[in-house]
Amino acid sequence: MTPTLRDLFRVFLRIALSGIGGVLPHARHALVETERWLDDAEFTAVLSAGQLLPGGNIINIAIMVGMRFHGARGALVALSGLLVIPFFIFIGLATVFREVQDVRWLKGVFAGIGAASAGLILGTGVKLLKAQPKRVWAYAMIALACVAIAFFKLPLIWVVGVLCVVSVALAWWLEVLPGSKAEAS
Amino acid sequence: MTNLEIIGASIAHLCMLSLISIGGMHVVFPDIYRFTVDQHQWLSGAQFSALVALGQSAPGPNLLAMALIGFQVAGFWGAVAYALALVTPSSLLCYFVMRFAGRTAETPWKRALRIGFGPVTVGVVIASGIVLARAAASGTQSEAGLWLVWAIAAAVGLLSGVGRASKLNPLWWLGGAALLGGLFL
Repeated sequence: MTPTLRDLFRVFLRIALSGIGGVLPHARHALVETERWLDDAEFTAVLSAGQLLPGGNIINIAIMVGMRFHGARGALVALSGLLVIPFFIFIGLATVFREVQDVRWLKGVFAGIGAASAGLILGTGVKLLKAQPKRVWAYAMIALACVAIAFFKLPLIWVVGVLCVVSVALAWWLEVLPGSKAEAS
Repeated sequence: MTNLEIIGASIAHLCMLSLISIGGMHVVFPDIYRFTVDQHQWLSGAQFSALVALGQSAPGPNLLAMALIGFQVAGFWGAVAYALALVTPSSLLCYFVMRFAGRTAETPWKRALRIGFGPVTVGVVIASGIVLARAAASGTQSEAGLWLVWAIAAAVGLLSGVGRASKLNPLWWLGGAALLGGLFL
């Protein structure tokens, strides 16, 4: 059955609110199992199409699911469900932070959670690392991108512009072409 | 600078980042750090790190962490502008690509893009963790504090990235680090 605009807003709001540090597993659960708007293969297709485009994964999923049922309006409503109410929760946090940021003993607390949050992002990197091809070219790209941003502090646009082109070209020559030749023979 | 001037000076840069945020919103954190902290000094590294950490402790897509940065540097409308500038360009792109080029099967070219983007994204995400750990460390006063921040970041990165502990809710890491930070930093 086709969800209404209201359903789209409600479900994407629920997905946003249920996820602290990673909403994707919740998105799959809600869309595939609870609401049954997509089956598993469709969810994977939507996720992987979204990963080829810029923007947060969950953001692109909301757009694609929304437009599938209600076109541009559906995309806008699903996106609003994901963002509007959480935005005001975040504003509340930012307001509190502005009041307490100079409290002396809290500086240690903030440095502590800052360190853990950096660690969580490193952990995401480590998880993603395991999914990459175990090949020299891939490790070289990882190292170059990391050093360029973290140590040379280069603008992202140069790093992405140059390294993505090189990396996709290498993937084409070293991973995709050999595979398709093997299939053809 | 007034809030309006700060918003005006940020929007074009954020829109550009939105369009190159391949692999998700994490990848633009270091460039927004470079832009707001290093280049313009609108806020300190310690503040940036604390706000990202607060964003990770709250429910919602992680692009909203950058709305917290917008709030800190330019108030409520700064938060609105930062969120909209990061979400709109990539969302429009996603919408139009899916509208006119969606529903095509996996081609060798898409496979090359997917394999090629992977390592660059991983490198930038790890760099993002390093930049944020450095920012958290800048909020401490002593040499020992510096070591503790890096130790927390590295430990959380490893433990949340591999093994059984990676299934743990991120709030445990953030809570534990808040306690350590409050006691020792």
